[in-house]
Amino acid sequence: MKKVLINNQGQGLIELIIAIAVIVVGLFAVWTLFMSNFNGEQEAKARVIGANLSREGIEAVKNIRDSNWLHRDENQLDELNNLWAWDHSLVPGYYTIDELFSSPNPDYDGLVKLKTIAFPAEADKSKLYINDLGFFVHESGSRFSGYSRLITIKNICCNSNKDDGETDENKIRQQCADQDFKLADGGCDSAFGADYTKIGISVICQVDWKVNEKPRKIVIEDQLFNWR
Amino acid sequence: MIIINNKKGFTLIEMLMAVAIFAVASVIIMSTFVNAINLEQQTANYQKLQNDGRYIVEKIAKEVRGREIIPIYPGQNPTSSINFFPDEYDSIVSIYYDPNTKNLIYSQDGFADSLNSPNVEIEELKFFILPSKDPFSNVPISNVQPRATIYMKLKNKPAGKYAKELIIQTTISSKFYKR
Repeated sequence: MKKVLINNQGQGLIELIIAIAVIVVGLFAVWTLFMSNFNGEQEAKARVIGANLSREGIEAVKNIRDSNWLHRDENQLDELNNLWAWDHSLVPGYYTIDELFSSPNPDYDGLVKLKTIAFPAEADKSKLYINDLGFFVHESGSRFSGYSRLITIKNICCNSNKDDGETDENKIRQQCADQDFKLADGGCDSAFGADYTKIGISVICQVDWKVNEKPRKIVIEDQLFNWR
Repeated sequence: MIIINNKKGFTLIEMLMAVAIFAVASVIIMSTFVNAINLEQQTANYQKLQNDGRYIVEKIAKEVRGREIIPIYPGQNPTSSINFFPDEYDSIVSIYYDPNTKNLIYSQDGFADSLNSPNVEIEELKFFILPSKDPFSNVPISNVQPRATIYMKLKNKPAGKYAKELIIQTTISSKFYKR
């Protein structure tokens, strides 16, 4: 004799709830994935803007150095009646860009001007605002863009008297090519001793912004020397 | 042989309950799905803007670095085009904005094409070209290295609910050293 039992129980409410819970967890995971993808893309967008602003800072300093070369070529004299130096006005310190393109006066000769700020005391001065034309500028009064930009200039110092007292230029280059240099916030000799000579400047441009109240930053560093 | 046979079936209430639960579940699933698709579209739009923005900035940067910019009067700033002097191969390059088609055009020796892709339009484009006097003329009248500041507002095309905007500003200093 054979017994055939047909199950007529169906599904209970608990089973149903568990099934729905599993589905919801799955959906939630997929949704989180999409959300983080979207957030990541927004981060990337903010970063593209930040990177370009940061690059602008480096290019501004580079433009000053190149303009210094042009002044030098014309044998121009600086304020102290010395020949115009390649690093004229590029002394160590913290800066914002004062004049880059906002040239309402027709007499503006186009020379980039930096403005010294005390950092971190005057960190607020590094904020970038949106001006009437939509450009990012440091002049306050207009709408805050969410970005700030700070340019730091340091001297690159090299020990020119390292081995046996020979101080020929090739040797300086060689030593610095070996990464044997130090950064100074002031004069090289006062920072590391009389053996150290300034061979270039290091320009560090930091741009800060926030995404969902979380701080983000990008730092570009470039080293400028007196050769093209 | 004993067959225990169930002849009960579903009652109307059970049926309604099942349909209701199914409906709720499918509404949740569908809305998640639709939202995910919308979000994905917005993400894709951001991506397109960044692609174009990066490419255009790099392209302009390359030209500004390597070529000699024709200076413009201070009153003409901000302008919507950059023109370059002929290079050593007598090639004439210019980059200009076409406000009608909202394209950024790169033109070399009369051949012109847009730098932005068909699904991105340039809403706004401004250049500041400085200095206004040519530092590389025979008698130099300026001691400022040429540079260009770029301001560009990109937008997705066609404009719709999920069209995004991207504003890029940067400055490129020329690496053209003639003197």
